[in-house]
Amino acid sequence: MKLLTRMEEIILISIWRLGENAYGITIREEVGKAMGEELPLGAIYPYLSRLHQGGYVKTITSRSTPERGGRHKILYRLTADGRQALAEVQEVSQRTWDGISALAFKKFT
Amino acid sequence: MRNAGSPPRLALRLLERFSGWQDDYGAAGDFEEFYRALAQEQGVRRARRACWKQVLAAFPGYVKNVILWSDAMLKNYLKIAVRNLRKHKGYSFINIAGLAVGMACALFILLWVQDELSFDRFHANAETLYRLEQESDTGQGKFRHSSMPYALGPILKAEIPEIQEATRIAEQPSLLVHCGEKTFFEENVAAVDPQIFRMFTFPLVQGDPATALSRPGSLVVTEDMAKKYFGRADPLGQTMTFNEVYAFTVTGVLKNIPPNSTLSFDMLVPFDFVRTLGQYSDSLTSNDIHTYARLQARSDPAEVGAKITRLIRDRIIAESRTNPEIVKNLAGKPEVARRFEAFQKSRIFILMPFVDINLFGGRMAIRNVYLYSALALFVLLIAGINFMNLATARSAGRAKEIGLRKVVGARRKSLVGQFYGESILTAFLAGAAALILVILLFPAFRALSGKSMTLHALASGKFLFGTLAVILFTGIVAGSYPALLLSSFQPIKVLQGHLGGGAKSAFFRKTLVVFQFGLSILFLIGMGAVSRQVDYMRNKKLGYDKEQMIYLPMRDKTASSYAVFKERLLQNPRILGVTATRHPPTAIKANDTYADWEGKNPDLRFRISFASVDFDFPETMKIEMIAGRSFSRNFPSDVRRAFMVNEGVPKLMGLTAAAAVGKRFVFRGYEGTIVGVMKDFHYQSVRNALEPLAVVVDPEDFRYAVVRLSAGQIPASLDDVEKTWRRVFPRYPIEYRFFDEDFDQMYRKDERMGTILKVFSVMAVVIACLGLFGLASYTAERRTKEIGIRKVLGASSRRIILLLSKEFAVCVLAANAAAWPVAYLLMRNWLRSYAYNPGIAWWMFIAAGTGALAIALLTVSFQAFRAAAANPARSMRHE
Repeated sequence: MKLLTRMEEIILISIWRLGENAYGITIREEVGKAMGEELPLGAIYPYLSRLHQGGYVKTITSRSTPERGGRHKILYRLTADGRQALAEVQEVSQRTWDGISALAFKKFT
Repeated sequence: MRNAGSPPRLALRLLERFSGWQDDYGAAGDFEEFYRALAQEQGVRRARRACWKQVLAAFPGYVKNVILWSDAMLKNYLKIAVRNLRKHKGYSFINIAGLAVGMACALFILLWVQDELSFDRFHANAETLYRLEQESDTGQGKFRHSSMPYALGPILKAEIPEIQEATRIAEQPSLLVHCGEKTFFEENVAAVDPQIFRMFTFPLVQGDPATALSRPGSLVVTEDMAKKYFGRADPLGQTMTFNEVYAFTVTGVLKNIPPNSTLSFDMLVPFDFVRTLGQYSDSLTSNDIHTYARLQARSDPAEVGAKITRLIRDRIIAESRTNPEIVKNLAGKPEVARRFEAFQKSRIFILMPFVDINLFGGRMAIRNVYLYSALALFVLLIAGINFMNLATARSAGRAKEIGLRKVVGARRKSLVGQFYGESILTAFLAGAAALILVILLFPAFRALSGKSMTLHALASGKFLFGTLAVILFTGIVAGSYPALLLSSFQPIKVLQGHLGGGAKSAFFRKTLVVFQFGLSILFLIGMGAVSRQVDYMRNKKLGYDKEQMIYLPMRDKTASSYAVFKERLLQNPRILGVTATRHPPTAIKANDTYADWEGKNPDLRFRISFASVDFDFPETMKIEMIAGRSFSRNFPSDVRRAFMVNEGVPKLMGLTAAAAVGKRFVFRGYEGTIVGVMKDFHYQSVRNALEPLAVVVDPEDFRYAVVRLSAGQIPASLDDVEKTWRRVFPRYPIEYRFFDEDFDQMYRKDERMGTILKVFSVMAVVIACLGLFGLASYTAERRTKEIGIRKVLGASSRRIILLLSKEFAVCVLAANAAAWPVAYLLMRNWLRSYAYNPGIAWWMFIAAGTGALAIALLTVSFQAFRAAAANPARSMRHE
């Protein structure tokens, strides 16, 4: 079993959350929300590229809109593999965290 | 809201680069959307700033990526390149040596061009300085020159607002200078306006530039002159006497003028001196001196030139009514008046940018700049071809490496980069070697180019930049073909051991060899043509005997005592003849188009050269007479009223030589009859065509004494001439020149070109042969097994040598076929500039061709012999 990196995991989850409306800008916002800080604009594309090549996401080219200067929008959807991978990650992390309450670390911060 | 436009394009590009968006993941569109949304909310300015911020944010990651990746790969590339150079020492040597020699040539030419371009640039105001020139129509086509009226300078300054400053420069014919015990003739004295120091950057080491030339009788000398006359004494306040009467006091010392200056003088005197000498004329019809102007910044020289033309035209029309001399000359002669007016109206004034004079003025240095740059480029190209050929020829050895790199994931782009890197590395090594060569050969270069450059020229930023450019150019040009070819190998085929496109690249290699040898042959033929032309001119029959001939300038008052000098000389049996001329006898350049004779068609005009000579002219020069008689003292009318002409004049008159004798002839203000016809002789450089010539005896117009010495007794007879001179002219230093020296000088330019061509030809041939040697050794190596088998089957060594040499011989023959027509055309064009040339010699083509073939075969046969002599048993085990 091949696990996703943390960043890949966060991006995949963001895409899943966004559903129909997952593309560069929204993904970046979603990831920013989750991480608590904004990523540089260019930073997510290498990850998207890797996820795409790995078969975790598929792209849909939507028609261009005027606010994008005539360029088309690339929408991202999870593939079955992507969903599967996320499920595995979730499972692994839940198993890993099992029995540790969130409060256990709070004391030390 | 106003239109937000698009995000900064450059930012988009950079971001694209930095983030490594390989395929379309919608980034560009996202970026655009991001920008527009921001622009709508916070305005365009902020949006733009945010875009740039994004670029900056992406930058650190990019740098990290690039360095991490490329550092590792770069090290690997370098390592492989160095290993390759080391492993094939022979090839590396051929490559680097060839490139180094080629680059050294290019660098020398660079130095030379840099020097030519630096001419006159040292003046602080160089860009705003102009020399006045005029173009006029003499009725025989346009004529452009830079002689100006005496009065022009101040008029321009007063009347044309764009002209900020003007200075006149009147170069003086040689002046006799006395200073204490020392006496010299000085040739480089100019009378100038004091503004010269404000316009040009000619700094004074001593004295005040503002006042140095303001008073009559003041004198500025160069440092060299100060040393010559005063040694270590303080030159300021010293006095010098010109031509025995005019006293000058040194008021300033001029820093020596650098060699790359078109203006050059040893001494400067106030412009007033021309009035003192009685040369000055207020008339605008005179053309005697040079005038330079400084324009206001941003004014258009063409417009100013047009203004001057209009101004002078108006003034001349006014002058032609008031100037008594012109009025007198034109009165009652409508034809002359018409011609005068037409000529004056055709005068156009032009401002020649001062910094262009060297390149585009009389010297036309730009022609040599082009010629030599082309030669250097070709030699560099020949060296670059060696690199290309050897790199592609040995590609088999690299093929596995390339295949493996590709399998492991190298993109074609990075392989191209790798091979470019290798060729640039080689070019840098060669560049370093070339710089060493340049330093070592610098003295030879200086002698050959005749330029007084120092090694400091190498340290200039421009030269170093040029060197870098040459290195990169060579590396990129030489590396491009191997880079593109080698990186195109398909890994599957290569790793299986097949090499695609072998025949194609072999053909390309041969084409390049043909090109190399074609150029070499071209150079060889050019070299042969130039030296043949020089030989031809040197050995051409001149129509008189120039051996043991000298001439002495009769300056100043010596001319009036010429008769005494001649008489005394002739008392000496060692002196075989004495005559005199108005012009240096090797360069009679005066001519005129207004000649008249009995039965001349008045509508036709012919150019006829003119000289005034003394009696005994043909006898002393040993010119044959073909009709009539020579000038003789027995005929009193022979002074000023008789002409001798060369064969050209009777031809113009439409008469035979004998028939021309006795005809009336009017020329240059002399009227008389033709008494004799001389056989044609070269009274100018042999470069120029012989034109009709008429000579007259005018004792008031002698400036050169011409003396024939006895053969075999030259030192003794020369000594006699000196003694006689000192007795007749005790106050004047003696100067003389051999005719031979003049002829040497005439051909010096051609000889220099010949020598430079020789150097380039040798370089071209040597470099081409180096490459051939490498290629031959490669072929021999690759065919080791084949040769072994052939030998086993009974082939003789001779057959094998033939086999290996054949393909290269074919290349050189093809090169001949390509080079000959080009050489023929170039040569024909070049020879046209010489009135007398030996024509095109076919043997020269054959000689260059067979020479190149012989050298090429010699180069190849070394390898062929080795291959043929190898023990086949061992060859068979090869690979």
